[in-house]
Amino acid sequence: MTTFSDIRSDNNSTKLELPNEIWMKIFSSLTHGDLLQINLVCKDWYDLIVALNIKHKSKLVITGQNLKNIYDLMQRGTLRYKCIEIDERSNEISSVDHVLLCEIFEQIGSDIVQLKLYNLSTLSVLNNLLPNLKELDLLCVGPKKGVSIDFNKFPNLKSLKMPHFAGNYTRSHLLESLTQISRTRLEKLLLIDNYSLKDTLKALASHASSLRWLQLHFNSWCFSRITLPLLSQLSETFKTFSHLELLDMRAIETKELKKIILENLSTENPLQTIVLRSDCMDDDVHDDLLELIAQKWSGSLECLKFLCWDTTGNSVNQLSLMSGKLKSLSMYGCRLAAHDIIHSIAPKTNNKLRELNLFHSRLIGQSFCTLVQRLPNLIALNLTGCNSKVGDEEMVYIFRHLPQMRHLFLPPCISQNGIEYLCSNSNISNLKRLQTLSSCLCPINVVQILNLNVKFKELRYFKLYSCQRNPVSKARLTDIAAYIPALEKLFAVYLLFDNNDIQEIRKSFPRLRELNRRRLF
Amino acid sequence: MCDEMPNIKLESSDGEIFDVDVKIAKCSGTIRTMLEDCGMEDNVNAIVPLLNVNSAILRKILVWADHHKDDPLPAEDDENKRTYHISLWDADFVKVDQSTLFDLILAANYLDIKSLLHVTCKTVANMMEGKTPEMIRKFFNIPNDFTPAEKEQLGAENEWSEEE
Repeated sequence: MTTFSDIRSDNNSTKLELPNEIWMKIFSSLTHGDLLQINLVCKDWYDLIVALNIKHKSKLVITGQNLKNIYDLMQRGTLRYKCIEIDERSNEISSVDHVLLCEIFEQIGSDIVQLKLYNLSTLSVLNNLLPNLKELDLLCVGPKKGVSIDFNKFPNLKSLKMPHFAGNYTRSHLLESLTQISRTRLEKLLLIDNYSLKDTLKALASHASSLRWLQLHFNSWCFSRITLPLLSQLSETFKTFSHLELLDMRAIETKELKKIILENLSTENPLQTIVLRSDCMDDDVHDDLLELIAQKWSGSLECLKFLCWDTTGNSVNQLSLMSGKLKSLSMYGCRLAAHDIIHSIAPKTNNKLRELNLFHSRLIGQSFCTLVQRLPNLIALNLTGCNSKVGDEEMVYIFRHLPQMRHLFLPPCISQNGIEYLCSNSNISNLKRLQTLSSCLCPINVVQILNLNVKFKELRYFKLYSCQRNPVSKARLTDIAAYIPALEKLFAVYLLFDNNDIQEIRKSFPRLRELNRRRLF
Repeated sequence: MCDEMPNIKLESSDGEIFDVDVKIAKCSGTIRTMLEDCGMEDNVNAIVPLLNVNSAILRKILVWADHHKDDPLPAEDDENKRTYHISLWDADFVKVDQSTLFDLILAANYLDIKSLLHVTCKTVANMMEGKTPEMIRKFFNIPNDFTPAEKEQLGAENEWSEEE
């Protein structure tokens, strides 16, 4: 599409008027980042954006530092957020400030649907102010002796993420409270077990009939430590599930446990997403798990993340049975020959697949071309991993054949040649709707060299590697800024930024909110 | 084209009469409804008054309608496709000065021509993409009516909020 830079506003014209519903229609096709800017243009537009519920798509992050300001802001007008994060990682909110926090939540608490916390005491303070809370994320809370939480205080709770490392006391207390939930049935649960599988399974069983989404971490369990009664408890628990749509077992290491779970889950569960992972090279092969999945859920499965190092040519037959129906597939390609990969993902043109994460694959050259040609509807492609080698030829195939691409993750290219070949063959403008890019500088460099009238106007996240041809420096970042005007997050691998650098970089990237994982505000 | 196809007359707000193929005129939901509801379809001498569209804009709109007369009607639920495909011809068509573009939007809205309204609105949205508030104000000639204090507060609120 042509850009419209040649259109300028007429000299000495007055403000052009359109009815509100038309402005709303125009705004509705813009990204969140754009709307945050539009919001600041004038009062009329601010009101329109508020009416568009942009705030409801945003998350308010309350920290020890901004608490007072948010309190002042709240006194001046209404804050309406559905989603709140209280981030106390760098500054714990003191008990004095808890008073302010409570006053804020007295006003906004009934709007809040999602809450993420880092400190369990804060939740105990806000307990009674969250009547409509649906999703509670406690993944990052630490141990807190003497704090007790009663999940029954949240009668609308549907989704719960339990803590990673909460210590024995807090963990068993929270599990107990989870088992005793009586006013609501959970639909989504992330559960982490380090010590007591028995209690974990008991808590799980109390929500099994309603759960649609389950992510399990059984961290340090070796199969030999699990007693027979526990195994039968595990089987029985999983027999009672009937609505499961997502099952994420990436953090269950022991293959036997995964097998028991898959064997006992009934086909009544309309599983759409299954996540499996195994990082052990010498583990049993997981082919039989794949077979089980294909037999039981090939009718409903849309997304499969099968991240096992041992994925071999034998697995491929199982995968090819399903891959024509999948929208999203993730796998390791390190032990697969090119024809295995093509056979498992796209034996012929696969119009269904939208997302492919093919890690550590050795696919190059003509076979690579065959694969991307057969996946015309891909919107996300990830080819990273230590074995992956992407050169000019592969980049050219991606640019040429994947015009729908929105999220592209490539390792830094290995090309030793000049960039002329890439320039002369590139259809780089096919990628102008990218939203996420992880690569070396070469793709953007091509646009720069050819002086194309192409801007990556939707690119919001860029992870940037150096390659031999294009080492990354701070000066180069400023160079490319004009081509990625909407960038919000930048990660330049191996570059360090001091405060002066940050000021300079923000001049070139006015939207930048995060640099090398550091928030800029 | 079929010789039998009847023509109707459209009158612009400044009084100019356009003799138009019914099929082309029916690109507009508003005209379609008028013709069907008022039984004007068979009346070759009927004149449809379009009070909100001047002759210059109507002339342009008829060019659009002629080019798109054989398009299939867009499926209502096909949002994504409509978002991403603006044809080269359409992109060229909307390369006009800003006040003409805004007039086209108003006319497309009044005449209920969904595809034209979509393309023109998307064109305006594209003009805003990746710009700072100051650039947008300058581009669309919009005065900044925030007080410095309000501006600071809003800026701060933006900084504390993240996309969900």
